[in-house]
Amino acid sequence: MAKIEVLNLKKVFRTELVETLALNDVSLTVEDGEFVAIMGPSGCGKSTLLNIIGLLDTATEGRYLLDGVEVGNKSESELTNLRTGKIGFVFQSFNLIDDLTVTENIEMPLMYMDIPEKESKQRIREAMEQVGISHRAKHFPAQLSGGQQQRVAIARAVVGKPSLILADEPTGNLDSKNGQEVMELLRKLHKNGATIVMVTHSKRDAQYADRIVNLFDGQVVENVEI
Amino acid sequence: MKTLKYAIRFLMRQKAFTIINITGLALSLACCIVLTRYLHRELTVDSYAIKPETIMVISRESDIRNSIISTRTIENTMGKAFADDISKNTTESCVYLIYPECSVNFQGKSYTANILAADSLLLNFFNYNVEGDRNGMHRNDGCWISRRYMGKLGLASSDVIGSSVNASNMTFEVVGVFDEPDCKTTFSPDFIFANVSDRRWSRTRSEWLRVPDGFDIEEFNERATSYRELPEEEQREKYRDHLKAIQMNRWSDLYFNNIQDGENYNLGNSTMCWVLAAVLCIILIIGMTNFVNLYLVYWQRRMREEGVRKVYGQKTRHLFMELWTELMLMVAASVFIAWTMVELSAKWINPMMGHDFGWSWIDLAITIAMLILLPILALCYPLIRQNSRPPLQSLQERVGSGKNIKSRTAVLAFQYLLTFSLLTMALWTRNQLSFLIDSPAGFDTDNILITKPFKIVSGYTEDGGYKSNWKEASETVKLISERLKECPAIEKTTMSTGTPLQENFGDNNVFNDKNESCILRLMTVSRQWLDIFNIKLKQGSLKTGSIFDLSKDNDGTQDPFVWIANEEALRRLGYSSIENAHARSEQALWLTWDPEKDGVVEYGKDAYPIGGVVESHYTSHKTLGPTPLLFMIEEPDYTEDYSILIIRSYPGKNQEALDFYKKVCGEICPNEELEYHWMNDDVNELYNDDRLIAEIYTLFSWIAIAICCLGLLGLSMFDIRQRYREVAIRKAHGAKRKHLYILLGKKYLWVLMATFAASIPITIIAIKHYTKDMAECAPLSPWIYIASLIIVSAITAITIATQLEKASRINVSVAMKTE
Repeated sequence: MAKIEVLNLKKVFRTELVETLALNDVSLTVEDGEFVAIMGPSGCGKSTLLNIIGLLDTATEGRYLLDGVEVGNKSESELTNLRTGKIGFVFQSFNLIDDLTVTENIEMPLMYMDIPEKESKQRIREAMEQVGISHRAKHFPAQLSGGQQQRVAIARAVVGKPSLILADEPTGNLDSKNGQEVMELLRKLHKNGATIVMVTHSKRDAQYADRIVNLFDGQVVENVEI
Repeated sequence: MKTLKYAIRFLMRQKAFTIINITGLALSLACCIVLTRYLHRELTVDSYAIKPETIMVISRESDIRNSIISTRTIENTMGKAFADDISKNTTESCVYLIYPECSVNFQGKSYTANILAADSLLLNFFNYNVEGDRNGMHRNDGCWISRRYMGKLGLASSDVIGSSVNASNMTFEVVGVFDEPDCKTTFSPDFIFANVSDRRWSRTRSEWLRVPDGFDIEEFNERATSYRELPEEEQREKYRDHLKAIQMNRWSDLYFNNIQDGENYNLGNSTMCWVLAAVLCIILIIGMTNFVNLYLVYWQRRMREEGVRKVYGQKTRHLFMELWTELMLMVAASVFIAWTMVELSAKWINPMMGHDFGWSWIDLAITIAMLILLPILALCYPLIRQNSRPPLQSLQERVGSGKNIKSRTAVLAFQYLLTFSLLTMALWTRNQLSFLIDSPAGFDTDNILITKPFKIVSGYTEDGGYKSNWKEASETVKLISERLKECPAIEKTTMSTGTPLQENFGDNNVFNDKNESCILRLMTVSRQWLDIFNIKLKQGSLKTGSIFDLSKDNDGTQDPFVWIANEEALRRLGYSSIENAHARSEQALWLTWDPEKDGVVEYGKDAYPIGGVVESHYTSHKTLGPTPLLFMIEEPDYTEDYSILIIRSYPGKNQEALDFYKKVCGEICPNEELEYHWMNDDVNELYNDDRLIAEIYTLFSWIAIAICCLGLLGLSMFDIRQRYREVAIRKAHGAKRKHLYILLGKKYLWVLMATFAASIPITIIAIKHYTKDMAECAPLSPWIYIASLIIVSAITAITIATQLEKASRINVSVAMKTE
C-alpha cells in the first residue's frame, strides 16, 4: 500500500475577479519510506500540492489517500486528528513560536498528542541530540541563527515520530553551509525510515531525494528516479 | 501548568496591551459592581419578609387617592360576600397601621418618631431580630424600639428595656429592641407597638394577608370587579370619591407600583432603576467590547502562531484552555482592580448612592459571574473562528490585514456611539438637575427654617373622649414666637399647618360655573403663610372671610368667604380672570354635629367666588408641573393643626437665627426634642433621584470616555504600527508631518464624526421617551451636543497624538528594512 496516493487532483483558487488553476489533474504516488523532491518554477503549484498532502488544505477535485484512507471528505477536526503524530512539517520560514524556548517549541506536538511527561522529556532530548541543538535548549528563537532555527523546526517535526515528513523549501532561508547541514539531517531521517516529501527550488537539495517530480503550470511534467 | 506559564509569558510580553486591556475592563467592572449593588438593593426591598411572594395587601384606588385598607373596611364598603371571599383565600393576616412622625413621650422627653402598630402575628410576616421579649406583640402594652433609633438617642439596651413610652394617649412598656433588616424596607419604624386595634390610634388600619402558594391573584382580581360596592351616586355621597377598583396586590409590588401614596411608605422609583440598569448595560457593553476587541487585535498578531499549533495537532480543547487561561488571568486581574477601586472610592460613592454598601453574598455572586462569563464571552469568537478554518489560512494570515482592522474599528465605533450617547445624556441630566433646583419654585425657599417646637399629643382616650395638649403647645409656641422677635437675625415668623410642599386638605373634585369639574388641591393657609413664602398676589385681594364662619349668619361686619386660587387652578377651571369666577367643591369643606338635628351638617358645598389669584408654585417634583391650588384663608389660631413654626431669617444670618431658636427652645421647653430643617433641604430632597441620575451619568460617562480612549490607544498602537512601512515610503517621497497626521488620523476622525452624528437621533429619542410624562423639563439644547463633541474629540486627539507623533518620527531606512 502506497503512503500517499493522489489521483487527478485539481485545486482552483477563486477571488472576486480571477480564478487560478493551481493544480490541474495531478496524480502522484509516494511509497512508504521514499524521499521525493517536488521541483518547478515559482507559482507552479508545488507548495499547494504539499499543503494538500499535509492536510493543511483541501483539493477542489480529485482523490487523496493517505495510508490508504480517503481524506478528501474529512472535516477540519478529523483532519487535525489524522495529522497529529503522523505528519511532521518543516517550513521555509521555520514558523517557530517566539514566546517559547527551543525545548518548548519542540515539545509542542507532544502536548497535543497527550504524551506523558516522562516520555515527552526523553523524546525531546533525543530530538535535540539528533539535530545537534541540545546546547541551545533554553534559548528563544530570536537568540538563534537561521540554521539553528531550522534545526529546531526539524526537531519539532520529528519529535512526534511521524511516518511522513513534509518540508517546504527547508533551505530557502539559509546560507549554503546551513542548508547543507539541514539536508544532511533530512537524509539521516530518511535513512531511519521516514517518508519525506520536499518542495525545493534547489537542484542540489533535490539530489538528496530518491525521486524528483517536476511540476509546471499545475501539472506533473516529469517524474525522475535518481 | 504549562498553559498557565505560557499565558503569563504572553501577557508579560505584551505589557502595554495587557495593561490597557486590564485597566479598561477594571473601570467598566467597577462601575458595574457599584450599580449592581445599588440595583440589587432596590430589587430586594423587604426581602426580610417571610415568603414575601405570598403576602398581599388590598388597595383601594379612587380618583382622589389610593390607599391600602383592611378587610374590615372591605366588609363595610364591598359587602360581606367580598370579605368572605378574601377570608376564604387567605391563611393568616396581620392588621397594622403606620404612623409617620407621631409624637411620642419617651423617658420624659418628647420626640417625633415613625411608628408601626401591629397585632401579634407581625413576626409571622416579617422576620425581625428582637433582643428581649419576642412575644412583646402579644401584650397590649408591649413595644419594641429599633436599635438604630436607640443609637440616635445615644442609649443602650439596658437603658431602654422596661422604660415607658406614651403615644396617642396610650402608655407602653419597651420590652425589646429590634434590629433593622439588612435589606431596604418600605417602612422603617422607630417603635413597633402592640394593641393596633385600640381606637386611640385614630389612624386607618391596613392589613397584610397571607395567601396559599400558587394563589392566582389575577383570577381573584377579575372576580373582585364583580363586587362593586355601591352605585356611583351613592358611592359619591357616602365616600365623596369615585372608586375605581379594589384589588389585591402583592406586597412585593408595593415598592415600585405606587399603589399607595408615599406618605406612609418609602416607595421606589422604577424609572430611576431602569435608567441605572441602562447605564449599567451600556458601561458593561463598552467595557466588554473594548476588552474583546483589544484581545482580538492582539490575538490577530498570533494568528500565524496559532496556525503552527494547529498544524501540530492543536485541538479545540487545547485552544480553549490556552485562550481561557489568558483571558481568565486578565479578567481576574481586572476584577481585583475593580474591587480595589470600589473599596477605595467607597468614601465618595456610597454617599452618592445613599447607602453604605458592605460585603454581602451578591458581591461574591458578581465576582464569580464575572470570572466565569467574561472569559467565555471573550473566547467565543476566536474559538469558533480558529476552529472552523484550515491551518493554512492562519499561516498565511497577514498581520493587521485591512479586513481585521476594519472590523476592529467598527467595534470601536460602536463603543464611541455608546459613549457619545452616554455623555450627551449626562450633560442633559445635569441641565435638567440645574433646571429642577435652580428654576424658581414659585415660593421662597432661602433662609426659611421649618421647626416643630412643641409636640402635640392628641387622640381619643380610653373612655371615648378626646385629649390634646394643644393649649399647652399653643402657649409655649406663643412664648417662643415672642422671644424670637428679640433676635435681629430673624425677619418674621408664623405658625403654620405645613410648608408649600405639604398638603393639609387633600385633592377635591371642583366645579366651575359651567358645572365642568377638575381635580384641585385645597389648602387652608394664613395670609402670613403666603407672605413668609413670598407667594405673590396676581389678581384681586386676599380679603376673605373664614370658611369656619359659614355656619353663622354674617351680619355684614365680616368679609364673606371667597376662594383664593393660584394661576394654575384658575386656568384649569377655565377662567382667565377672577371676574365672575366661581368654584364649588364636591365635598363639604367642613362638617359639624348639629345637636338639634342630631346629625352631621355639611358646609361649603356651595359655589363661592374666587376673590384673588396668587402665583402658582410647585408642591412636589417640578416635572409634575405647578399644582392647582384653591386656598381657604384663615388666621393661625394655634390649634393642633398649626403646630409648625416657620422662621424667616435675613440673608446670611441663618446660623445666628438657628442658634437663637435653639437657645430659646432650650430655655422654654427643655424636654422637647429639637426638630427643625431648612426649606431648601426639603426642596433638594425632592430631587435626590435626579441628582443621583445626573451624578451617575456624569461619572460613568467620563469612565466610558476613558475606556474608549484606552481601546483607541490599544487599537491605534496596533494599527498605526502596521503602517510604519507605508509611512516610511511616503516620508521617503516627501510626506510631511501634517500629511502623515491626516493619513493616519483621518480614519479616527471619521469614526468620531460618524458616531457623533449617529448618537444625535438616539439621544433625542431617549430623552423624549424619558421626558414624555413630564410637564416641564430642561430643553435639549444644541450646546449639549457641541460640548459632547468637543469633550470626546479633545480626549481622543490627545490619546492618538502620541501614536501619530511617534509614527511621523520613524527612521525611514530602518522602517523600510525591518517592517
